[in-house]
Amino acid sequence: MKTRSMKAHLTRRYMFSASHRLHSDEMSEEENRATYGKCNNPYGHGHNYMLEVSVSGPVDDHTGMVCNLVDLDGFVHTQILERYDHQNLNLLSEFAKQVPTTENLCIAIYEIVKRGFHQAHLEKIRIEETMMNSFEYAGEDSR
Amino acid sequence: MVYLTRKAEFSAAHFYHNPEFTPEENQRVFGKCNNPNGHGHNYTLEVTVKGAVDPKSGFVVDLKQLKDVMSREVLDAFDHRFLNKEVPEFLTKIPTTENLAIAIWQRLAPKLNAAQLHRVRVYETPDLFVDFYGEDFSGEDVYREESLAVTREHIRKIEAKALRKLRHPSRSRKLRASMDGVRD
Repeated sequence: MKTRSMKAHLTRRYMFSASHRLHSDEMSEEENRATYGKCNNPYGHGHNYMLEVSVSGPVDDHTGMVCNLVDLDGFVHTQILERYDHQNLNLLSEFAKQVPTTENLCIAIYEIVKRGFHQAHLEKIRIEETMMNSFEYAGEDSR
Repeated sequence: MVYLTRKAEFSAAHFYHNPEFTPEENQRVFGKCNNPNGHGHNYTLEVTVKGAVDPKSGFVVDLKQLKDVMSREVLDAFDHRFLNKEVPEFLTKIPTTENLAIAIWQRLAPKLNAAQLHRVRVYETPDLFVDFYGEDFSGEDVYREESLAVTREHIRKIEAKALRKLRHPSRSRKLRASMDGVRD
């Protein structure tokens, strides 16, 4: 059998903890409370976020890898975890005008990885905000 | 179409080493994983098959059969083994999680006659897993091609040859004659 590059998908999990408050300046106080409930609590609250980064690519013949895990870990640690871990999301520039829902967090992280990590193709970002709810973003033209 | 996933666990030792690399390159690329004495993982394997639900049994696949195939083809060969030294695929290929997923697919696909293999997922640790859908990098279905021993390029060539033969005057004249009646 001739050898050819197989396509594999690699997923790595990371954890970070951050606080946020769901509040939109475009809504009245009442609307905010009605929309976000407890999450609108003025002092904010926090979560242990579980982040999954999925990349794909041909399995390199010389290394047996889609991409070197050291590169992916290094990128995520410096560009994502250092930015978000133990921070108040509302104070970060990307959430100055956007509500830091996990939907928007997924998109923000997707954009950072897409822009900066080129050793493999970014397939999707998945975040568990709690064990009960999770969010996925795979870019706009993916489906 | 219904998808069914069966889990299994195996524990195995491995290390990463490419004999074409210098010792320094091996160390740089593979880091701790290059330790020649090996290290181990508790792997979790998830095999997902797909198919129509059989109206009589209500099954996509007989789980017992799937479990037996996974045990015979994968667990018996991988569990409590040193992958680099005891599993034929890894005498020449580096036993990364990517290559494990591919090897497991290649072991299972020909043996699963009732259902179609959809995905092989291998967890090396709870924080790292690889999915393989039987695709090569151009997106072609590896198993289907190998089982038929033809590639899409072969099929294109066969099709082109067949059309060329049909267009040859000795055949096309007869075909035209029979088509004329049909068209009118």
